[in-house]
Amino acid sequence: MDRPTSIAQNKLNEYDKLQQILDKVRDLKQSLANFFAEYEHGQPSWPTILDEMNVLSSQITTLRTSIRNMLPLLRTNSIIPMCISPENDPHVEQLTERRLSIFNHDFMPQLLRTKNLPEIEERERLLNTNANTNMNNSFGRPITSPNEIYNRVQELNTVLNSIGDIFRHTKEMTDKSEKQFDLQRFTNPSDTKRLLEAMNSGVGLRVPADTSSSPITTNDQTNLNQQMPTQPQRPQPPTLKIKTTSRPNR
Amino acid sequence: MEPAQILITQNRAFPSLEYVLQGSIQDDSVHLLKARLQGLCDNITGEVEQFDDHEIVYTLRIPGASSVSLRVRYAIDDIPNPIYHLRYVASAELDKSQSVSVRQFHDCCVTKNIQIFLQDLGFAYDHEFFAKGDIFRKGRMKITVAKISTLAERNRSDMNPMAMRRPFTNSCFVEMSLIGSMHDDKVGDEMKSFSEQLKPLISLDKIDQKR
Repeated sequence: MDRPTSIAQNKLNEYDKLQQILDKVRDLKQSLANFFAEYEHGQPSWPTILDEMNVLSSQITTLRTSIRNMLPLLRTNSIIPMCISPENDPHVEQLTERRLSIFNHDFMPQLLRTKNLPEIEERERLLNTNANTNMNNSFGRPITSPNEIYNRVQELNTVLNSIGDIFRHTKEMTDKSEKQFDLQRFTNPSDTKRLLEAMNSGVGLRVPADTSSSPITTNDQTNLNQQMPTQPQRPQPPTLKIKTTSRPNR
Repeated sequence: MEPAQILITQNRAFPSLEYVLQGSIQDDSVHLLKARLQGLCDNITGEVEQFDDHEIVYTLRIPGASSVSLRVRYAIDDIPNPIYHLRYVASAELDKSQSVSVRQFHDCCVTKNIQIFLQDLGFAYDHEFFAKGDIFRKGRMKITVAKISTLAERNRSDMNPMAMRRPFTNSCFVEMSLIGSMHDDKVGDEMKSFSEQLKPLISLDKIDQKR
């Protein structure tokens, strides 16, 4: 006997908690309305504004704590619409203070989040209309001659190709952008190979002996001293004898 | 500092190792890599350090043994009195355990007579290239993003070095290097983990030893 009553009591408790939250919300709404009314009637003094704000903040805080206590319960329970009708419902109207008069499918999908994103709805609509226009052309005609068979086969092939294109297009659009970043090539392997060979062993940088080009003459010796040995075939440098003299004191 | 002082301070007696990773990136994606590096690397003034160098490689072919190559490099911005920098890099050691390429290297600053000096020693001009790009630093690491180009024409005597270049490829060369000694074990992992941050733009790898 105890168990059913305790469950009933639990249910009652939850209902009570919900009622408390509702009351708090109603009080909060009332104080907000008061505040706005006061504000519209003329500028209230700063202390009164502060007082109102204090009241509002304390109400919001208590509301938050009570909801936080209720959270596990709220998470495990889901809201089920009791009656969705396209007619005017005076009861609903009175409950929501005339903000909602018709409890129909337009209102509920937004609460239940069963409505698709507008972009997806648009895409679905396009697909449906395309599919309908394609289907209306071919289906339903009887096969009369071999020519017809051939035409049918062609049409089916085009339909399949267009379906394949739609799949590919959707795949591209819905693939994450990171994969496209991964597909990007930043290095060129053949370039890498050439560069490594050139830097480490000089492959590719050695110029074969070029007999046609004239060697750099020493016109401007002062500044271009370093340009001299840039030719593989160059005139022998002037003999520069490096004199080494023995230094007695080392 | 005078070049002579640079010579003294830079002529080290102990061999140093260079840990290096190389890769490349296409020209039209270079700005992405630079933006990422600018965010990741040490950035003192907010400006990216740029360089424009001309590197000439001399080789001494020893009959019966492998050839020795020396690299002479100077900055084109320093003309008419550039500081020449001589560098020797050995071929990378084959080391499967390391995640980066390791190679021995020596370098020092030299005077402008170096080219004639090398030729007198017996080195022959091998090849040359221009490298223009940016340097980024992160701790001990140095990352260079450079566009390699070659000389287009050689005949004019009054040429502006910039105008006569032909790019080698449509990609930029990226190199990450760190100078350390033999006992730095964690260096390779440090460099590899930093290079992971640059994926998928670029993948930096060890030097391939197939050649």
